[in-house]
Amino acid sequence: MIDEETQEIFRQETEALIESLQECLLQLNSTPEDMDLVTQVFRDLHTLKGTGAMFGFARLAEFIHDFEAAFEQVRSGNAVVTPDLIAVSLKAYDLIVALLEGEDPAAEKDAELKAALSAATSGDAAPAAAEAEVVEEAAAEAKGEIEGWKLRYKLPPEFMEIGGNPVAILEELLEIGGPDTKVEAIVDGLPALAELKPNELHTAWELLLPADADEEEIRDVFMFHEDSMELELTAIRAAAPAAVEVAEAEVTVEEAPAAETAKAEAPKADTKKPAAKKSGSANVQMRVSAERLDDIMDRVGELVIAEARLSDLAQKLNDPNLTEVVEDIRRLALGLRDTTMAIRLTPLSSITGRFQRLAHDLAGKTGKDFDFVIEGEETELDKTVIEKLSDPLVHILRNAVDHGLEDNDTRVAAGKPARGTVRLKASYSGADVLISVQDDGKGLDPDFILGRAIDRGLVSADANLSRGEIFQLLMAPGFSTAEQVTDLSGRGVGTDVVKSTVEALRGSVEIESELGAGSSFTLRLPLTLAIIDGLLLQVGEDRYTVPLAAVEGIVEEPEAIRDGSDPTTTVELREKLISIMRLREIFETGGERAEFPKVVLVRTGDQQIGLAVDRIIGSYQTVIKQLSPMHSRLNVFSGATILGDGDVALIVDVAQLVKAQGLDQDGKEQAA
Amino acid sequence: MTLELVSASEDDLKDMVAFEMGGELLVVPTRILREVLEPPKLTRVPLAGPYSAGLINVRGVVLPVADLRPIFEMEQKPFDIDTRVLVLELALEEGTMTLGVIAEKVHAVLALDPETIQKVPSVGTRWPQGAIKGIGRWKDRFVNLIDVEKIAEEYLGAMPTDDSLT
Repeated sequence: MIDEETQEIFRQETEALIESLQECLLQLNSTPEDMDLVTQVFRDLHTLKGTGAMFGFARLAEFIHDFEAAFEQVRSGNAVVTPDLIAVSLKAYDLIVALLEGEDPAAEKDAELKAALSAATSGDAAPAAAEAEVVEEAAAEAKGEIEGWKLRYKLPPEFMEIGGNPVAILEELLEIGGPDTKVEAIVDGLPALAELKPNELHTAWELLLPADADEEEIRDVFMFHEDSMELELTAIRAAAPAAVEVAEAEVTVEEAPAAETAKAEAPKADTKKPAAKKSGSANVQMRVSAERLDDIMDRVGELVIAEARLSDLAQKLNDPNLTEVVEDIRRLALGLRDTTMAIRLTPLSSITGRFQRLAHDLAGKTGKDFDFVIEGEETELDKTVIEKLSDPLVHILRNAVDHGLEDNDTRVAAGKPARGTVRLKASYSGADVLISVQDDGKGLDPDFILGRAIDRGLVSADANLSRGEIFQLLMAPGFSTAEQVTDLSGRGVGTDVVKSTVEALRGSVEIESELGAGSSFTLRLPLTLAIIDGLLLQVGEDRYTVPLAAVEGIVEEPEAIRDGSDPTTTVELREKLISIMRLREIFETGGERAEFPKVVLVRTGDQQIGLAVDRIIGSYQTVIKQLSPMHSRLNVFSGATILGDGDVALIVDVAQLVKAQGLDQDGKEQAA
Repeated sequence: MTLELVSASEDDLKDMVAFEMGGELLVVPTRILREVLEPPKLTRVPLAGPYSAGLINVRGVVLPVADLRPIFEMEQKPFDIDTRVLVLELALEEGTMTLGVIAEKVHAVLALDPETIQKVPSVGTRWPQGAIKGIGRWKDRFVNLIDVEKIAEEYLGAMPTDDSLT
């Protein structure tokens, strides 16, 4: 049986394939004639089948075999892509996902879907396929020259040790070749008995396969080992190979649009070139566990800290030779930091496949017609952030379709196009990334939301809230405006989870809406969680860091508030009334007061707050260290960092501090 | 009681590190002791309450340090030449927590005779309920087997509370 570890490795291996498969299927829905997509689906399925079989997922492999067969029909031009085929394929895809996750769906389902797949691809081929048939014929003609295939291969000695099964390989080849295949084991490579290790493989094999065996299929058997093995596949031909090449060239000229198909079918002279690789890009990819990346990030963080200490020291010693070396090290350390952070960045497109699928399903369930547009999928974010964003985005998307978009008739009655639009858009904004979900539906009614919030006791009846604040109430725990609980949008739990998930990632959610015109939910997230630019502040005897991104200005502390000792106060600055938090009082710090204290103006949400401090030390590369539960429960500090001199400084979470001081509501009312 | 206690931690009893606070002798198993540090510079954490002594930098890792003396209602004597920080690795329900604990003086590694270990009297001691697993004897002194895991969970907020699901 398959143990959990194997299953996990397998799951990781197949994750990208699954994602690509779904995306291709959905794209095929809108461009059914795109043969490249069909080929891609076919390849993904084939690789999945191979991997599945290798890891011992017999049922999965068997099912995919039939799924693949259906697409083989399309690829060879005997069937065309129809909405039916896509619908069945998506169901089949779901079954594959279920099997991969280790679920055990009823066995009839396999058979049912297999039947549906073959039904969707049987029937007469549409005219579009006729063209392809010509190619097929031409290719077959070229193939007619071949009398068989001679395959000679030697797997790497450690093949069995890494979990490979030579017998399974042979069985697979025999399946391709059929009963006429001849197999011979070549044991020349066997070492003397005394040196022979039982877990090493030294046998090579030579096979003669009949002419109707597909070259690509043969090569695909070795897809996962081609880098480390010896493989020789030659066509046994009756006529001179030159004639074949001419035939191939003619096909290419005649059927320009289908040239790729023709090439794929025609025998290749260069047998060394692995077939599977031509589909992939030239970039070499490597799979690394996230844990190792975290380790590297930690080390780089420490390096950056050590470098800062070295810089401090060099400055004190003032030796030009030392300074030069320190500058080099600084450059290298910062370069290393940037590269390491870049490694962790993943484009949003790695998860958009599931949103497309969701939109497709939602359209089916709600009966609402809409276009789902994704913009800026190439926007990159820290991998951990991306993973955690998936659920909140699914939730927001569902809400947009279920509650945001009106049904088709209502839209037409309101003078809008019957077809709605839901837009998922990602973009950079300074050190942040913005991800928004916009719909052109009915929009949010602030009066209704406020009324509901008052009913639920979330705000007092006489509360004086701005538009933005009213929309924020949507994300208060226990708030739901859905008149009817639907299958899609849950029961009003969830939007508060969106908010807490995003805030845990040091981000925020902004909601905008125009009644009748639509709404947009925007998630604002930091690019990375590991290192930020911080502003180091002196408060009495202590030092604190605030994220530089939030800092909007630094001013001399106004005389008017210099003598007070309340934790918070307000002062007029640049003709605006601003709440000031006296960090010295809030943090109960001792030590001398500075002669010229400063106020740091920081932005939190849509308000500006002043932090009264003694001295500004400067901006620092701040490597964020998580606090233990003993201190993180305070919420006021989002982490700690190690300074150049080895001391620890706390990172102030301004938004939480504002909340803790009760300035998040009152402060604004005064300022407004 | 004695038997139950001993069976749970008989191996631990052979290898305990003893330290002093407020005139009492306390022991924790050396199994959970990572290292003993001379007090490094502590960064105070405002608003964290009396049990938090602050944060320290141990070779690039930021560790919290707890001062258990207020829990035991002991006087918080200033640091002197004998003061140390014990770095302990606690296996809590939520996972491992590495924690520094202030010790006024670290004595020795000792083996306790399981026979001498007794239940904590319910009245007449300074120890809050559950903070001490038992009291044993070593030479002519009482030694208190403190339950650091329990203290961490109950007093130091090591268990996440409702409002800090981070």
